[in-house]
Amino acid sequence: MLNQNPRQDLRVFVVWEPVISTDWGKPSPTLPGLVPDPRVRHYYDPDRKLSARFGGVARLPSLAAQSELAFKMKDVIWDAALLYPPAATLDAQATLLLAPVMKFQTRLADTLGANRRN
Amino acid sequence: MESSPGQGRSSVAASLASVLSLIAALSCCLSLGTLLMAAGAVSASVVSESLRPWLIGFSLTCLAFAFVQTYLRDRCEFRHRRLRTVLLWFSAAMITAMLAAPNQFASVIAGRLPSFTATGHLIPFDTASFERDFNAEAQQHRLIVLLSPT
Repeated sequence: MLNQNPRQDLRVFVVWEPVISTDWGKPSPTLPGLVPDPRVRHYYDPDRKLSARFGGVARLPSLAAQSELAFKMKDVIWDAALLYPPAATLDAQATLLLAPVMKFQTRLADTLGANRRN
Repeated sequence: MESSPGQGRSSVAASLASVLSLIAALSCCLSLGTLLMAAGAVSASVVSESLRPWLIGFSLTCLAFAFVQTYLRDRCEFRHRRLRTVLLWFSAAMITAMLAAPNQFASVIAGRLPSFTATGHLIPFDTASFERDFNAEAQQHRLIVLLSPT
């Protein structure tokens, strides 16, 4: 998806967090290679602090102006993408929230493409 | 004593099933997961989160069944059960690797050998630093993606 959107005014923050049973242990140092793009910065969040910072699953609907959620999260926000416009802070509402990411990757790519044209 | 063909087939099937079910359990990074997602019938997250413990349990059960079939119930000549034995130990090795180091195994299966140092590195998450990094790029569009490593 990032390959199809070479725009340079995009920064991606990938936050890896343990959620499912096979996520135990230290993450592989090759993990960033799963999303290899110079615009991406990779973080490892073992305590799932970002999800807590967002207010957890309970606040999910209010995190973005538009959201498409195709699965029910239990106690942590994960497999989700939030798109923020320029100048927005982390406390501001994102323009778009999509989860799970793979299911909505076309939608995300289209939105990024549309933003670029505007 | 010769084992029945059915018995041989069942241990081969059990070995294969154990590997396949564990691969399915780690399907986020595998083509199987992609296929499931492409099908759009179910959410991959739902599958991976709710079915994963069951798939792991199923794979271990199948592996145990295959060991019993091969070593306790089968006394045929080794050459007759060579394929099954090789498959069984291959399955056992795969499953052990997947369970012992799921993150590394997922990376390898996804085509990232440990010898490749990927572009970028993992930054330990700290809320304040993350917020600073996020705000420092305020002139750009920003995408935050929260993902599970496996």
